[in-house]
Amino acid sequence: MNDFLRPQALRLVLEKGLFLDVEGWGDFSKINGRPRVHGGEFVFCTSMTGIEESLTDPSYYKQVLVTTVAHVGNTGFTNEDVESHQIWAEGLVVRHLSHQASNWRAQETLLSWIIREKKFLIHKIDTRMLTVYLRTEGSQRGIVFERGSMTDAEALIRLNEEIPSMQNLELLSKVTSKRTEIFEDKNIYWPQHEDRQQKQLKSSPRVAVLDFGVKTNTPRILARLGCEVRVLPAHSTAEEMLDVGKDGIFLSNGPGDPEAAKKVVEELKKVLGKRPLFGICMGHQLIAHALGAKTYKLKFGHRGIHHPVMRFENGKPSGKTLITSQNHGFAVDEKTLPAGVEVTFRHANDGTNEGICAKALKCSSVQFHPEAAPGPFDALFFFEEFVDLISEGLHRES
Amino acid sequence: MSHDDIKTVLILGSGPIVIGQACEFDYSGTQACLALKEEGKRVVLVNSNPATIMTDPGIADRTFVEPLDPLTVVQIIKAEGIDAILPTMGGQTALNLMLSLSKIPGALEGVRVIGAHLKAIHLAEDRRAFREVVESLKCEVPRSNIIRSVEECEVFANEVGYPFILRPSFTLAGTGQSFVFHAEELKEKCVVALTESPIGEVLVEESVLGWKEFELEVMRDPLDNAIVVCSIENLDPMGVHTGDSITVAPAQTLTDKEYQAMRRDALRIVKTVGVETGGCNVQFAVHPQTGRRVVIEMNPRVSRSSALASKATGFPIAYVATKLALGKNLSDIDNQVTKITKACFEPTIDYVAVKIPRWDFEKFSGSTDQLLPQMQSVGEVLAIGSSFGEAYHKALNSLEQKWPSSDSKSMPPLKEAHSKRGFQIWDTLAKGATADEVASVTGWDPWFTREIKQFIQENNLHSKANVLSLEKKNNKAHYPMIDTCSGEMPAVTPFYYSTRDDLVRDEKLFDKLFPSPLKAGKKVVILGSGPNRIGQGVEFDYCCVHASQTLQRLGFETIMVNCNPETVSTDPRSSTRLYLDPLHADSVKDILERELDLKAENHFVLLQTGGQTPLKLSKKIEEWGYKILGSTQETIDLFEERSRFAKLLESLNIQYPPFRVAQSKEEALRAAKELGFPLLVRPSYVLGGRGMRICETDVDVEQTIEEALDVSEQHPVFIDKFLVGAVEFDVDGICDGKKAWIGGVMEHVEEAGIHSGDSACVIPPFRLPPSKIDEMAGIAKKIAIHSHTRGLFNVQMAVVNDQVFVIEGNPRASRTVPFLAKATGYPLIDWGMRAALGENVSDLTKEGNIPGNYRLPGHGFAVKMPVFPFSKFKGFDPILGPEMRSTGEVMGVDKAAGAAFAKAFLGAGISLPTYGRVLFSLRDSDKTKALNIVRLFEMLGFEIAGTPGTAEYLKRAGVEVVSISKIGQGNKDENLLACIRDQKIQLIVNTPGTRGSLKDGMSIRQAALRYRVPLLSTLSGAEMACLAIKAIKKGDIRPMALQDFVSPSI
Repeated sequence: MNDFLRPQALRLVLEKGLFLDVEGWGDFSKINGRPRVHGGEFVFCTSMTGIEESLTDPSYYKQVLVTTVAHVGNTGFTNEDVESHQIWAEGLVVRHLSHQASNWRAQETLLSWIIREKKFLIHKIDTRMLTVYLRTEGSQRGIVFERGSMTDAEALIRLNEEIPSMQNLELLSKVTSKRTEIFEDKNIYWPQHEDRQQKQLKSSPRVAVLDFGVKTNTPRILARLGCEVRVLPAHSTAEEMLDVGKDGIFLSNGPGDPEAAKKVVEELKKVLGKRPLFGICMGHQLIAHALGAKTYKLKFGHRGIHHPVMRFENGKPSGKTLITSQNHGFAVDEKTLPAGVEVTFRHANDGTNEGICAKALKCSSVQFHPEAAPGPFDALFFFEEFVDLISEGLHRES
Repeated sequence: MSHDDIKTVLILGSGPIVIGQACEFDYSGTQACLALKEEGKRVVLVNSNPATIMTDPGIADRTFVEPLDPLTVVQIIKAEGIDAILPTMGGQTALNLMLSLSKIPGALEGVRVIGAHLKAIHLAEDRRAFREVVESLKCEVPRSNIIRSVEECEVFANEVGYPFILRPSFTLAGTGQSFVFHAEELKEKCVVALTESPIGEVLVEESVLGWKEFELEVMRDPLDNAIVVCSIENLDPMGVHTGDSITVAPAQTLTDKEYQAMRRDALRIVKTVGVETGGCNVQFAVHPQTGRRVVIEMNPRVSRSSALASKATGFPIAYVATKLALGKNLSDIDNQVTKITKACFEPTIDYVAVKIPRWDFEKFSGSTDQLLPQMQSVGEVLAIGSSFGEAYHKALNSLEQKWPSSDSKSMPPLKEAHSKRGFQIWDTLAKGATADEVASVTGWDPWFTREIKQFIQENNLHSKANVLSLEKKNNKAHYPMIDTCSGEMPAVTPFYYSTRDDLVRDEKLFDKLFPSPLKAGKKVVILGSGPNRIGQGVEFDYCCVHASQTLQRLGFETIMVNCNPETVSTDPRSSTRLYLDPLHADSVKDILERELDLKAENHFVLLQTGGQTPLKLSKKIEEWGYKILGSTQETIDLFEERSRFAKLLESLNIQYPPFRVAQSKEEALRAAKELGFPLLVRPSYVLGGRGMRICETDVDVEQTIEEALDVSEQHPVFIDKFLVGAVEFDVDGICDGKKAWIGGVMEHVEEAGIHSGDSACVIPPFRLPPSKIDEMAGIAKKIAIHSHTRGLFNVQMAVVNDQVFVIEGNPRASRTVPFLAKATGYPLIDWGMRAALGENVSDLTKEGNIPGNYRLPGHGFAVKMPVFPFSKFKGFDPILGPEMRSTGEVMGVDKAAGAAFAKAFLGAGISLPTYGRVLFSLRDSDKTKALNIVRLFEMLGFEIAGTPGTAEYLKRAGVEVVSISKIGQGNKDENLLACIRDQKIQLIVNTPGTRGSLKDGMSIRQAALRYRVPLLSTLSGAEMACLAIKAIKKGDIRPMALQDFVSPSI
């Protein structure tokens, strides 16, 4: 094992009092004479594949991913599979790390990519124990630092100083793009996962995708379905949204507490009913807020690509279930939904809200990730419904 | 789409254990019965295999241990008022039976097929139609064509090139599949493949040899919701049958993009083929360098992999599939593991599960130890570990096989897939080969070899591969739960695996989050029987599961330990707690330490229901200080140590064949001189007569002894006087230490010299006077009492010249217990467990008052008939001998002996002719005895034919006989081979001669196998066939439910 691969002795400290000697990699050099700490909200994720997509998902900003799967990094890294231009998660905690990549598309190992991106990785932890701990005690803040560089008491002080609490944390402005851009699909690896016949339209529907931390697959799917897609910064005004999103507005996923995005909600209120408005994850939560509902923090959230959701029709379960990709720590409080807003999906395990629809306002949103990446394509129809809805408008106009 | 109007459901079982279809279908069938009963349905079951749990009279409402033949099933449908048939739980056998039923006019009138529609079964089985479906979905398939002649095959070869693969349509576990590498072998292989297919149709296909292979287990419900329960990756690349491949779950070398594309294809295929509801699997091949993905096949039913996936994830596929078949949706069904969530989810696992198959090539001398597209393994183990390396290491140590020396001359090269390659890869890596070298030679993905190499290095296992109690910093086993969800939700199903990983944990927190079971109350740890193998199979799983049920009823917590994923015992519902762990001393010790209190009065380890596997651990378990339930180590040793057993017999004035022990060739020859020929040479500590031979000369002894010594692994070899012409008996009973009770005396049809497991067996005995039967029962009781046996026991005896000899005894439940329990209706395991716990045998067996002379309570006959895997092994001579080779058994029951025989033959897949020509080819010593049987066949209206020698003898004895020249002699178009091929012979009676004439006979036997002409290789078997044919001709054979059979009132 060369020096690059030799792990460092580190200490992991979690907010509610779990202290572990661990080993891992990352930049733990001193900063201003003080030990450098890395950390964030520790959350567990049960996906068995797709670590690359998750790490580049801006929704994981200010979080540390604890993956449950036994081996991580088996297939290494390929720039074909990223969902944004960088790793957003603060770090990664795994059970077993593969030091070599084995896949025909692999370009480098997971570890070398993570080190290159200046994030940290710790391994050889009983992730089952850590997961059940996070499940019972709740997602919580934690830090990692060089072992012996400070006491646990000092570490807890640093943790409180440097790691923000997720509640009321506004992060959209940190991850969103800075200016409006036309989406161009540069991806070369695209498995044949859409079999829908393109509809013949006189012109392409023009869609504004609001970037709260968007994963590339969202605009990509819209583009593949024939839309002309422009990606807008999170804090665009209602006028800008309506101007760019001539035929429809699509709200992306994103990190942080939806309660903290009050300004965005104010703008969204102004576009309600003026354009078809669809949203995913953070987008879903912000639509709920715009409609007058509230959100709350979940104890440990839903993160993984095996989450079952049940579809509801007219307030009753339709019997239809989907396996979905999820990544959220907040949920919409159904009790606060105003009249005229229908629940369309609920999580099959804990019954939390997974989707709403305000038909009269042409407004529909889901908590889960129909864009997959990582995860199954079961919910791809959500995009098709959106495109069908905005294309109808096009026919009328033409 | 509700199925509320369905009242009575017929489940088709899978029949006897054969290669490619083992006890996984007992597991699925049993789950199906339970699920149907929960839904309030009346359950009717047909399965010819008595060794199964599903055929217990308490599981279904009506249980038919009858042949899985369409005409039998039609009678059952009519008699029982069947509304619906569930054909997806009994493997390929059940699907094929379903297709046959559909072709009988009127057979399915008013009967629904649930689980998979006939159309879907057809689509999945008809390779051409399936291809069309796959291509219509824009999924790729290997280039291929359907051929019906050699000429068509040649055209294909010219277009696509070599190598390519032949896949006969409608066969089981890849029977008849082969690769064609060059033009010279095209014709021969093509003819065989065309013959294998019952419809004379073969799929020829572009070779994907060396590609990565994956399988997805899919469930679909009536509302078109579909989930993937598990992904399985084969370590052995394409070219080895998936049943013979070492596999891992979940798949390890796919990115999310690749996996999701595969998942989506699988779901689209399943939806389009129209697997209505329930479980099925789809197989893919992926090119390791380009990633090109092609669809290989799908099975519209639960399978071996479903059982594996169920155990690897905790998701009970068969149970859920049955509920789906009744019209329920995934979201209506509870997740059995969490109880608070539903079945509509995809399991996610945080450990690695490795399956390694087990083969018995040694038992088929002449066969080549080479893995092929056709399955040859007889069993498998599943091991779960915190890492792939750990799981792989545990799996190798679950196989209960001596770690083979990789230096041995007999070890095939690493580049060929063979039965010991799993060990060989480990050793090669341990000795210093790089992971990439081994990967490139074997075709395994380098990820796997790297992980194994790393595991060896990290744990310093270079020279002690067979140790599981790894010395780590904390040196302690941990037991995570198999919970379907990686800890995301609280789970209630107590299903565990052990790990000795050295992960960072807070031990106090771990103990708080995952509390160890209390060492209080009444507890029994039940040791299972490990992987199926010839000589130890599903029968012992039956015994372990029954023991668990009984002990739970008696207030015990039962803790099951087993590593065979196919079984009912590894269903978490079979015990209070389940450990999917090796039956290796190190693993067992850890579990006992975790579960049992050495000082507790009521804490036991149960060994006597798991066959030979747990008995091997008896000494250690006693040394560790645990109490063995029932017969103690002292009793076990008395039975196992032959010299001690002989002394016991002598003290009781019981005869046994004289024997000597030998540890060298010289000792063996001296023993031969002292005892006189013929002799039976038998290695000790082996199963199923491994390496056993009959010797008639010094030369035989010399030839046999070396292999026997090798097989014995340094233990002495026994040399017994062989009892010529003896009739053998199995006696099973129960003893409380003071008093014994006999459950039945079973007569073997084949004479001594043929392994008891390979002999057909009849209860009650029909060739001996009642006084002899009583005498044998008395002897068995005496042995049990004087050895202080507590619990179940078995004694094998032989009768020759009116004298009874004891051949061997076992202080445990025997292979015949399930058969006997079904024939008599007595709960043998239940009583055995209670006797082991100290209840009085006389009280227990009060209701078990057997009619005089050990007749059956229902006054009928029960026949057990073995089935053999001969057609799977090329180059092997299919004859019976002292070494067991059968993989499974069927049972025939009826009030009349002939009908019971007929059902047994039919159940075993031997369709006896009722007219035509019978060919006799007999060894000299059999010719006189055969005359009666020849006359019986004449009386039944058969034409008699014989090979020249036999025909000559019969002619002189006044039989009208046609002489047919042997294979390789006479006119090419009229010799025996031609007659067999052209169906001019309907039945062959061929008794194998000694070494000289053996070869002649071999070609006859192999021809019979190839062209599916029924072959009987013993005279007693032929006699039994006569009785059966007579009964068939009389035409009054009716299916009979076990519930009626065991009741004396009918």
